[in-house]
Amino acid sequence: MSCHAAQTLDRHGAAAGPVQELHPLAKLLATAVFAVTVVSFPKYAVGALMPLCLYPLLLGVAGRVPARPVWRLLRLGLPLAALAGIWNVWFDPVRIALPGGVWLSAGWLSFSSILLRYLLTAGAMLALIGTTSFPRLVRALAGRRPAHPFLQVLYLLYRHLFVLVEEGRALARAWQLRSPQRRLPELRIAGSMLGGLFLRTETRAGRLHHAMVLRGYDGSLAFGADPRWGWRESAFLGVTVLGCLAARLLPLTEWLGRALLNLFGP
Amino acid sequence: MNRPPVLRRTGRAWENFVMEPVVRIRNLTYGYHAHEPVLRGLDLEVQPGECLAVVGPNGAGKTTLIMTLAGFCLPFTGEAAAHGLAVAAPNLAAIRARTGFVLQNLDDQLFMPSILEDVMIGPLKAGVAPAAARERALALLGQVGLAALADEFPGHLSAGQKRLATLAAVLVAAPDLLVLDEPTLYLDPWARRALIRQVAALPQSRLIVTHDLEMVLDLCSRVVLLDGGRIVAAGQPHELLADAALLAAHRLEVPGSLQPRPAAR
Repeated sequence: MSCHAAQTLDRHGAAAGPVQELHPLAKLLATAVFAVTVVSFPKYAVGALMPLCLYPLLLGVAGRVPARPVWRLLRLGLPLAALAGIWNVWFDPVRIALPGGVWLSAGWLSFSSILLRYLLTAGAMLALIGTTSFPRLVRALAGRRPAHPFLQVLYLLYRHLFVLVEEGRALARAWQLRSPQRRLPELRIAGSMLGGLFLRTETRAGRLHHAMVLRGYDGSLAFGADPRWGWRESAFLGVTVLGCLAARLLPLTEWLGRALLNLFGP
Repeated sequence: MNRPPVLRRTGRAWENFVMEPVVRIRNLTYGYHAHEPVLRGLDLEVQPGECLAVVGPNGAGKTTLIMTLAGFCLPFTGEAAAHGLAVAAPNLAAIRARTGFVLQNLDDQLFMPSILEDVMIGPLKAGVAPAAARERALALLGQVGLAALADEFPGHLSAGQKRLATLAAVLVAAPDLLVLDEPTLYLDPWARRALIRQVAALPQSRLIVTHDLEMVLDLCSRVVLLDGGRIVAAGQPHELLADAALLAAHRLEVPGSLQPRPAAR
């Protein structure tokens, strides 16, 4: 299911669209700036992080990224983020007073902050994937020159990931068809299936390599792309960086709260 | 543009030059494991411009024959040469540059992020400038009817489109010889027919390994029957593939179009 969600996002990233066609490096840099900003907040920050929700939301909406696969993939890492944060509830000695004389462990705040940070950074990453396919990124980074070996390895790894997923799916299908009563194989069978999967992917990777060699692959791949960095890319990156700086340095949440109180308060 | 076929001089005068076979295999023996040969003393020739089919049951050694020709099954005993060059490590780059191999599995053939980039590999590797390579690749994609899908990721294409894209990817390098391994595998009747039309129109020498005997009748001028690593019969497709006893002895069947029709009532 999650493989399908990842493939849907990847495919969406390769589609045509104004956000998809922005230079991939602009989106990658913007996402990196965003992630660094999120991580740089103090550990009890929750409200101050809220304005940052705008970045993944706007990127996703502008790029028309489908919400369901994003949520499916976000859900995958949520237990891990919760596990990393939940210990703070017990081990954080700081206590905070709430209105009404109630005392609460500050661990709950840092737990919420960790969850929020996870949702923000992973959400931004998924919005990036949904608007920029990996091949597009590699192609833009390589330009017209033969790609750097590191980029080639990354790209071929990505290609091999598809092979692995396809082989895994074929194996899972074969299991389901031959064992309709059992949803999951026993550990012993699962182990040999996993071994078989790696052998199959290795064979397929070998065949892929044969095809590459027959077409003249000599260790260097040229993508032949012509990436253009224009004013749209500069504007996108500039606005994102300014937005992140504003969210980090200015009390935006406080200002927003005051503005709302002035508008709707007594 | 196709290069002229290799000429062999047999005498002093120009008239004595004869056309050298594009593929010449003599007494070829190869096995993946010692003492278990897959190919046993094989003799085969593909003449310039000829469309030769190699048919045979599973495990006959058909794909191994192609892999040997491509230089992936070294060392072997006997002789194998393509374009007048012996299949040996120093000549592999030259042989592969003049031969278009379309292998069996569609998904393993296309490895670049888009069909266009995949087709561009050949010209780029040959030193053609990127703009010219792009133009050639687009022309080839247009020829096989895939121009509209040039920017698609190969994984998103149908089997028929993938097959045509792989064909374009090898044709763009203007090979003298096309080697096709089960080209109609996974194709629906329409895609199969489109592929046969494309291959029939090609001027190159073609070596086709297949189980699709109807395609052999449509495309090939000669057929060899391979079994147990040996060539057991060779001849004209309409004669050889009509021999029910011979085909049955080698786990094949007479294609439907050659089978006698039941008398009308």
